[in-house]
Amino acid sequence: MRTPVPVPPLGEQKQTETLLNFWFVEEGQDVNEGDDLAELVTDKAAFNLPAPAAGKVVKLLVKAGATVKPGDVLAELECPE
Amino acid sequence: MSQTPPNEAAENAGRDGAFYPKAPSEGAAPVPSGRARAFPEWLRKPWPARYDTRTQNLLEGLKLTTVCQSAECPNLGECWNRGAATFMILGENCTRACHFCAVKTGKGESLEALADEPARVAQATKHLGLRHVVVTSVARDDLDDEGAGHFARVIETLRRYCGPELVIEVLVPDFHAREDCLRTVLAAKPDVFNHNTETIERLHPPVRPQGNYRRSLKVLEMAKTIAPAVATKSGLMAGLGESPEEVLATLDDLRASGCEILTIGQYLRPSPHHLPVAEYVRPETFARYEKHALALGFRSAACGPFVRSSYQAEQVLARAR
Repeated sequence: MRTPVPVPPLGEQKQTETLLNFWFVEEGQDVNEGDDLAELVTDKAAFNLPAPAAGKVVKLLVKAGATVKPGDVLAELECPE
Repeated sequence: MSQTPPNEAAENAGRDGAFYPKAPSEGAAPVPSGRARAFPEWLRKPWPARYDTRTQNLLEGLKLTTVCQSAECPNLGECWNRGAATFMILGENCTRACHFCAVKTGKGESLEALADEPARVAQATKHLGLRHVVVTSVARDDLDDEGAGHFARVIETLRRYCGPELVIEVLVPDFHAREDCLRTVLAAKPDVFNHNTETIERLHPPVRPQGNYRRSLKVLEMAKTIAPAVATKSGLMAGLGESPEEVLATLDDLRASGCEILTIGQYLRPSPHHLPVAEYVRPETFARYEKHALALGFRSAACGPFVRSSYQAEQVLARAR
C-alpha cells in the first residue's frame, strides 16, 4: 500500500516558508514507524518528520533545500497491508 | 531513530547584534544573521508520528481562534495531538503591536459578532475533554472594558457547561491596570490568573512598546489583593538580549508582586519582520532560572527552550498544589 508523507501543519500560520532542509533517508531504504525521514525548518524551530508507518521509501518527491507548505506530499512509502 | 543534522551554519554564523546593546550570556548559541535557518540541537522538535487531526477539525468546525496557530507555536503538534489547545478570544486582531508577537494588529471585532464565542469555547472544551483550559485574548484597548466582561462571560459559560471541577486559567492583557477590569474578570472566579511580563524592564520599549513593566507587576499585585485564593502566574521570554542578572532581578520583582507560578521560554522570531533573536539560551541556563525561582518561593516554575506560558499548564499548576 502506497502511503504519502505530507508536510504537517507545524504551527506556521502563514505556511509559506517551511524549508525541507535535508533528508535522513534515501529511496529504497526500509524504515520503522517513527524513524526520522526529513528535517523541516520553520522560522521558529527545526522539526524531525517521522515515518507515519513502517515500510520502504519508494520515492522522495521533493529535493532538499526546497520550500514546502503544509499538505505538500514529500515522499511515498510502500507499507505492508 | 534520531540523527544529528549538519549544523555548521549555526555554529559559525555571526550574531545579529544591531538591535541589542548587551552581550549574550555565557555559553549561548550564536544566532545566524538574516533569516534563521539553523537551530541549536535543543531547538529541534519531533513531529508526532501519528498526528491526530481531531483537535484541528473540532477547532475549525467551531470557528475558534487559538494562540497555538496565531502565535505559530512550535508545540502545536505535541499539544494538539493530545487534545490540548489554548483558546484566544475577542477576535483575531490585536489593538497593540508588540514586536515579538505573530498575532495580527488591526481593528477589533465587535462584541456582537463574538456573542456566541463563550458557548463555542465551552463546547470545544467539553468535546476535547479538557480538565484544565487556558483562555487568552488579544488586547482590546478599543473596548470600554478592554474585553474584561467578555472574559468573565467565557469563564462563567465554561463553569456552567463543563462543571465546577474544570480548572480555568486566564492569560489576560494588562487592562491598563484598571481595577474595575480586574475585578470583573476575577469575580467570575478563574482558578489561575496569568499575565505575562514578557521581558525585563530595560527591553520593554523595543519589545513591548505599548506595555509597561511596572504596570504589569501592578496587575499581578492587584489580582492577588482582589482575589487572594486565585493563583497568579507570569511568563518571560529569554533570548531577547537580557542578561541572566536582569532575569533574576525580574524574578525578584515578580515574587514581590505576589506572583506564584513562573514560566520562561526561548523567544523565537515568528518572521523576518519581527525582532531578531539575540541568543539561543542554553537548557542549563533555563534550569538555573527554574532552580532560582523555586528558591525565591515560586510555588511552581517551568523554564526551558520550548516552554510557553500555557505549555503543559495542567502539570505546571499541579506542581504548585
